[in-house]
Amino acid sequence: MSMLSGKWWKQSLVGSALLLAILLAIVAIVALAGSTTDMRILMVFLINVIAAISLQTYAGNSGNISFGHVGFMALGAYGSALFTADPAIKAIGIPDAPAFIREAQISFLPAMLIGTVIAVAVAAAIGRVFVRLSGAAAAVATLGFMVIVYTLLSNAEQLTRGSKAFSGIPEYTTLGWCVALLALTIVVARLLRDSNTGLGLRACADDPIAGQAAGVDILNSRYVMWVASAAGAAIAGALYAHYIGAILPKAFHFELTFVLVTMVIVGGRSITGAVAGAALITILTEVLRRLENGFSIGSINLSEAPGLTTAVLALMIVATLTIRPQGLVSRWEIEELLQRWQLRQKPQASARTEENHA
Amino acid sequence: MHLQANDVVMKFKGVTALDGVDMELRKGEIVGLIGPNGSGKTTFLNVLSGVFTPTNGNFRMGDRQWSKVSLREAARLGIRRTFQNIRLFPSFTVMETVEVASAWLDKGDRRENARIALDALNFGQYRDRIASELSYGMQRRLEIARAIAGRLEFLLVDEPTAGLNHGESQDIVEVLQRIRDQRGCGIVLIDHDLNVIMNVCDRVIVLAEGKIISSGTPQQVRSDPKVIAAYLGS
Repeated sequence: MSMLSGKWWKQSLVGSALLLAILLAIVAIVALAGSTTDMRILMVFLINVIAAISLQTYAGNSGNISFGHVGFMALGAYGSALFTADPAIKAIGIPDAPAFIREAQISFLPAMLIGTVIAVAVAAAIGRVFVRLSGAAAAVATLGFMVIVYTLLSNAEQLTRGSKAFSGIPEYTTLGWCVALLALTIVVARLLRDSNTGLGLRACADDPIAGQAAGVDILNSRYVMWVASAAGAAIAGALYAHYIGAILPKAFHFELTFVLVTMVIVGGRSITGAVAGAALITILTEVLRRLENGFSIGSINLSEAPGLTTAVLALMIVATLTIRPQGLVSRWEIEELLQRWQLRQKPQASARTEENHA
Repeated sequence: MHLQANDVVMKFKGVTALDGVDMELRKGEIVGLIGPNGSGKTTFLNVLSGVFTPTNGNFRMGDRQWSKVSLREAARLGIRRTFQNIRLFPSFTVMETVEVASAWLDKGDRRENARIALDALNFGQYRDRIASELSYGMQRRLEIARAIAGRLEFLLVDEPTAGLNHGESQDIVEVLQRIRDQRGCGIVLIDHDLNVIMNVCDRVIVLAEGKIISSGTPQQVRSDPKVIAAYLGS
């Protein structure tokens, strides 16, 4: 009770710490007991969590879903990759690229910053138009943005090798980087969500007229979240590029968009929801991927089941939207869930005590 | 401080909802706005609070004058309102509902300010409840709590007792009087229950077909033949 009635930012930090503690526990278990494959799944999971939280920073606060954030991931990935890849490989792969790119070989952090700045600049430039849209129009416009980024990257052969893989990216992404940037993402996302801007924007997502009558500046609030979420997505993109070591435009297209949107919709409207959704979808995807290679239930033997993962994810979205449209954890953050659970236990506990006395 | 509306006209595709309304509202005064259905009461509130931009006319408050204002700007000027059909934030708790207004229209700790506004309306133990799960009467009161958090010069209340029983209506009336006394704001009250209007209002303004047909103390208005004709249609 005391925690939730104190200063809002204290609650944000407590919530961030709880969420991070759970994620660190998962990391520790996998790092100690998991196989090499498990570690790879964990790394991709951590990167996806950063991406999902970033998407949630816009979608969860504004109430507008975005299919475009994978575009920002792509900008972050290519932005960072271009300035870090081995110049010898770039001389062969993209001989016509400008010299300052071809000859550049800078370290991870500045390169990631370049990728992030590019994504933020693009988000800031197009954001003023995007934040005026809501509902289906907003969703379709963001989808258009994702397709535009994909098309540009696929055709900018001088810079990206077009639709071919851009390889030779140094594998800088370590578990330490992932955890550190995840911690940063969680804290920043929670502070943004709980700030006056985030609170006002979430109110407007519920009722824009009432929100504005309470003084909320809906367009500027959306803009702040849009730009901030683009930065987070770009960081996830850069981590991804430097983990896999080779990227191609197709990696940042419908498939990844679908996975991220599923995570956010299934999870709920909070940062905790994005993490829960990412965890659930990652586990599910891994189980299904194994089943895709063939499985048997009783007398039914299936040698191969390609597309099973996508089909099940699609069903998850449909099921969520029909059965529990607010998502797994609804609008709540982890510390709020704990507090509400405690409050529900209390009356039962006191009732039991009274029974005992009787 | 006065809030002055000058020659306010509001037309919707040829339908004139407000036809040259002049009105002066004073702080510390509760003004009742009555009239038959479609007379322009809610439209006037919507224009005053920035939901609609009037076709013509302007407003003046203190040394500020404007003809066009957004909902948000009106709120920042201290012109606050509730809605005829309750508009809360369905997923928000009671506390968060009021925190939004404290955050955007008040200085200082938003939670502390929200708590003060809620305590003033006896919401103490309901703070963590979801707004949309409250009883209808409580939702009406919560809308008022949100509207008084932060700067408050004039409070526009649209049908606050609609759908409430006698006790709940009485409760709302007392809340409004207390807010006026404690905050010194002006209140504009639209209500279909003429008993409520006659009991609580210092002054009553009667609208019919977008025009003011009468104004004065409740006693004066009640005995005005034009008002009787407008209501009874004879």
